[in-house]
Amino acid sequence: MTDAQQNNHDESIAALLRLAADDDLTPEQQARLDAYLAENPEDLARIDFDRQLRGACARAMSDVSTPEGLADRVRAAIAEDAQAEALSNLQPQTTNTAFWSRARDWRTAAAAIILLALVLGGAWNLTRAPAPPAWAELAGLMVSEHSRTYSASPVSGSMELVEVERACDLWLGCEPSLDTLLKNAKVELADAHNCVIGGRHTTAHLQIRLEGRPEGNVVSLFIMTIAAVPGLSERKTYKVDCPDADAILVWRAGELVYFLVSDAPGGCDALRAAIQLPQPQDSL
Amino acid sequence: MDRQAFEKLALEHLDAVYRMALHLTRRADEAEDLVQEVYVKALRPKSVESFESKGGGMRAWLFAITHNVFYSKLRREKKAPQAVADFFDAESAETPPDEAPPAWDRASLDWEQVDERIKDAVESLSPEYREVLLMWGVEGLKYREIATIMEVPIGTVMSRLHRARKLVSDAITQSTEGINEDLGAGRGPAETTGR
Repeated sequence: MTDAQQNNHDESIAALLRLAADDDLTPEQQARLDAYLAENPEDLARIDFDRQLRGACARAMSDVSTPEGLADRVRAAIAEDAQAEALSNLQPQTTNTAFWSRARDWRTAAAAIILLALVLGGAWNLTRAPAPPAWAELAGLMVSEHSRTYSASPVSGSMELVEVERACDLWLGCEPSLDTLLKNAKVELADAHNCVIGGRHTTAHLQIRLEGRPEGNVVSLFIMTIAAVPGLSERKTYKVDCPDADAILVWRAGELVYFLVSDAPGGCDALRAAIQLPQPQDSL
Repeated sequence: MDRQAFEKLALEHLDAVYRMALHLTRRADEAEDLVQEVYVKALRPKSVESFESKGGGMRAWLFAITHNVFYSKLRREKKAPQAVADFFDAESAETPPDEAPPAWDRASLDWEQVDERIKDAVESLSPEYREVLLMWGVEGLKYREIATIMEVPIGTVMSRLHRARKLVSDAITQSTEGINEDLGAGRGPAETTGR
C-alpha cells in the first residue's frame, strides 16, 4: 500500500470509528469495520475500553438526585416571568430603530403636534399650566426601562456621538448637545434607541458606560422634550428619589430635559461627576 | 402544541437538566438557580416558536439553553467580553482525536471498583470537559448532537471528549496501579484502606 493509500485507509477507518461511536454505520460500513477490527485487536481493545469508560462515567455522573420540589419552584418561576412579561407589555415600548432609517413622517408629525400646541395654547406659556408629572411614577417607568433593556443584552458596543445626535433630532424634534455634554467625560456611548415613556412621551434612551469601568456599570440617559416635563428651571440639577434604584438626576437644557438613571449604587453620581454636572440642589 | 402541554413536555427532562446544571456549577444552590433560569427562558413565547420551527429533541434543546445560560453568566461575572469558545483550553483543540490511550494493561482494570475514582476525576475536570463527558457518557448523545448543543464543530467535540476521556482514564490508571500493587502483594482492600 502506498503512503497516500495508507493515509486514505487510515482516515476511512477513523471515520468508521467515529460513525460507530454514534451508531451511525450502515450494514456495509459495519461489515467493513468488523473485518478491520478482526485483524487489529489493539483497536478492538480500544473500542471496548471506550465502551467500558462510557458506562463507568454514566454510573459515576448519573448519581444525582433532583431536589425535592424543584419542579414546583420552576413552574412558579415560569408563571412569575409570564406575568412580568404581560405587565411589561403595558410599560414603555422600545423600538431599536436604526438611527438613519427613522421615517421622515415622524418628524412631520412632531412638527404638526408642536404647531397645534402653539396655535391652541398661544406659545409655550399656556394660560392653563399642564398637570406636573407624577415624578415617582415617571422615575419608576424609567428605572424599569433601564433594567429591562440593560438585562436584555449586555451592553458592549460603542456609538458615534454625531449619529446619536442626528437620531435624537429625528425622535425629539430637537438635537441635544451631546458633544458639549460628554466631550470632557471619559465615557463610552454604548447604545441608543427611542422609547415611549408613560404611553405618550417619546424619549431618547442612551446607555453610557464610564471608560475603564466594569462592563456591568451602565447608566441610562433619558432625554425628553420640555413639553413632557414642564416646570423645571434651567441651570439647576434636581433629584428624584427612587426606592428601586440610585437616585435619578434631572436637569433641563433649552427645550430638552435629561434624566440620569442607574440601579448601581453611586452609578448616577459617578457619571454626574464625569460630565461635571453640579450636585442636585432640589428634589422632585 | 399549547403552552401547558409544552411546559409538561419540557419538565419531563427536569432531572437531566438539573444533572447537567449541577455538573456545570458544582453547587446545588447555583444549579437550582440555573435550572430555573433555563426553564423561564425556554418557556418564553419566542423560545417556544424557535423550538417549534427548528424541530429536534426537547432534551437537546434544553441542554443548549443550559449551556448558553451558564457560559453567558460566567462571562458576565468575569466582566470581560469573551466569546464562549475562548473559555476553552486551546490545548483541548490540539489533541488529535485518534491518539491511542496510554498503553497499560486494560484487561486488569476492574470497572466495578473505579466508580468513586471516576467521580473524583470528573470533579477535577474543568466545566467544558465535564459537560461533554456528561452528554456523551450519561445522556448518550451523539457527537453531532453535542456539537449542535455546544455550537462547535464535531471535530472540537471529539477533541474535547478525547481529552476528557484521557484525563479520566489517566486518573483512574494512577489510582488502580496502586491497588493492583497491593493486590499483587497479597494485601486486600481493608489493609489498603488502613495504610
